[in-house]
Amino acid sequence: MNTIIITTAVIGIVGVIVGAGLVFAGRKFYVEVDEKEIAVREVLPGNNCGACGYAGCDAVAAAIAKGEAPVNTCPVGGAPVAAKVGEIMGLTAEDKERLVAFVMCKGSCEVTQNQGTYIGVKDCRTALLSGVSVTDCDYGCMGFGTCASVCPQEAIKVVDGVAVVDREKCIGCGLCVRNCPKHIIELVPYKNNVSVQCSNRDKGPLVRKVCTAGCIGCSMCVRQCEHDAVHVVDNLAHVDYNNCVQCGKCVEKCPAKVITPAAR
Amino acid sequence: MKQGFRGGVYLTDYSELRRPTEPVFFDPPDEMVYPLTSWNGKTSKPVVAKGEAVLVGQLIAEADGEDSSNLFCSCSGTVRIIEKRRTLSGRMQECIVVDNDGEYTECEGFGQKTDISELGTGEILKRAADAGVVTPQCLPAEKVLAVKDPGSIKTVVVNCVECDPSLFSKEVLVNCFTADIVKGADLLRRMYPDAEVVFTVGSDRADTVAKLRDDVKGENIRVEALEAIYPQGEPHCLIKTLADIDYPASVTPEELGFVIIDIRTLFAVKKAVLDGEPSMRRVITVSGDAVKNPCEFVVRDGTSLAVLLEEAGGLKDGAELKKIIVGDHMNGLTPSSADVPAEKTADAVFFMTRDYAAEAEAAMDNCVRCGRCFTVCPIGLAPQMLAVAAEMKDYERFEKKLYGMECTLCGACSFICTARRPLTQRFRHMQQEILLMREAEEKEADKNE
Repeated sequence: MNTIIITTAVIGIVGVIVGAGLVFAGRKFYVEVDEKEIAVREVLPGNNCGACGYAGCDAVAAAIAKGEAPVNTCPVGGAPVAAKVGEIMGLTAEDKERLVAFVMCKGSCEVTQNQGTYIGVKDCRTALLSGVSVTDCDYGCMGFGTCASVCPQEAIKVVDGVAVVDREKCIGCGLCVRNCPKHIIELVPYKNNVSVQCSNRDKGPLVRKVCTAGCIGCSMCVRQCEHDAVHVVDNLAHVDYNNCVQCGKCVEKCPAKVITPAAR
Repeated sequence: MKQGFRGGVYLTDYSELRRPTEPVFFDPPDEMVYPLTSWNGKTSKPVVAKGEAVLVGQLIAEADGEDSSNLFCSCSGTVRIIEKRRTLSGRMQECIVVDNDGEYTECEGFGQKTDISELGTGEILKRAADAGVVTPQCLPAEKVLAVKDPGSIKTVVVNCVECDPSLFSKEVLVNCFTADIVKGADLLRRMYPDAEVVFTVGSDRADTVAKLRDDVKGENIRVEALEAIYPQGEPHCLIKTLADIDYPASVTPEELGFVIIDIRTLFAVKKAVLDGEPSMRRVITVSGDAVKNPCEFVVRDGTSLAVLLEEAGGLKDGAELKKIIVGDHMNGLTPSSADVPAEKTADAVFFMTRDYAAEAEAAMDNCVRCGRCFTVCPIGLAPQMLAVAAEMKDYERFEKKLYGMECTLCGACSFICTARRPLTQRFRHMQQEILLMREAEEKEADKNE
């Protein structure tokens, strides 16, 4: 009987001491959490994709609450989320132009010969590291779909050896742009319809040798353009999307048919 | 025979039972192609222009940036053009194309002999660097040879262990250029006065062991016959076998009192320093089951591999060429066509009727956890667990828990894998990504400071 009483008493006393300690610690080490941060976190998509450049949604919510990041930082949520975040923060979100990914390569199996001897892990980055050529064209898409594997929206598919972006599904997060080891994906305005679908910087004859659909740097598009929107740098044409008015004259005249009216 | 490390694999499957031939000095006709970028991406800057006349041993491109090396012409003639050509790596790269006049007129100062007693360590290193000597890993030779304190070096290993039983270029160097090798050993003793020079040879090359034991004699020189098991020739395994020391990847052999030099590098250094011949010729084994007369050549850099194949009798009747391997079977490069020039690091070309890698890929299966990779890993890692971490992209686990950065990428685990999984390739990718991440972090830290 005695044992039970002593045990109960000891445990009771220990419980009181620990409880008091916890109450003290709770007061002493209280961390103030910004209410705004919690509110912002609520309206963010919450899939922690990292497309904004921050380590997940919690981090970007903290940054927005502190005013370190603009309210439209989240590319995935787009305008609706930016508007809600703006409401919380008491700021109006300036309209961000919708961007979509675009693969600057047309080198499907029909137009380029594939002599590569690469065998192994089917990942563009691993394949590039192996030092073995995968395609004849050193600039073009390797077609192992690293971009497709990182896309949070499943908007990229490899069709016939080339990655193709579904413009409607694409949210312009830019993950594929960062992960493409060949650097052939860029973000273009959604409304844009004129892009050069090639990345080969070699001279014309060399391009022709490896691909029948490559840009040969003939500058025909530059001569057609009335708005100074197309330039040839390093034997490769590129459209300046700020100047382009979508007239489509360069598309008509391009001898290699490498300037496309719309993504495939 | 001596084998200090555990694990390893015997590469007997791919060896052909043949003896090395007397090397043929081969002077190619037609054009010579000199790639400005080596397979590991180090670029040199051309110093000749289109139409310029060049001579044997003339500098045609100079080192540009870290780890790149000088490039020398191996024939006489005129520079036709500097254009993009396909190279060993399979990519299109800037190359100097020279029309060979077939006369091999030597440039001034070529072949000028120097007496060994005139040279100090600094002069030897400078001459090796100027002559563009590189190791088989494509690093400049002076990087391997230069040490902070020559007195701290206790052992200089001259490595003659072939990675692959079907390679013979090192054996040919020992058998046919013995005098050069002996002189090379003298150079090493001059550079590291307190060190012992150890020649390591695979025990399957009994002739080479005997020949070396007969010819390289003297104080502080010895010849060690080591078990002919892959990867015996790697620095890690050599040091473990010779001195029973385990060391992490962050420690260099130099800190342990070791200098390890490949016998091919030693030969090139000797030629450059004492004979005034820059790095432009090397012994290449032309072999493989598709070749009519497998043999050894002394080849000038820039010679097309297709020309070498023709010189070796061409393809066997009815043989279909499926794969070309430049280098050994475990670590070689696989160009898509034979029409690529030989580079400084090439020591063998195999023309194969079977594509083992493609067969392995076709037979690839899920991991059955047999554990064979654990038993062969020469440094005692857990390849199967590393592979899982690599597939999950778990950098933390790969680096901190499983010590993935210690992997020397020897390929023994991929070789032995029952399920034919591409383990080594995944590890290489992971290591590269972790290195890139570290670099980015350092940059970030610099910015914040």
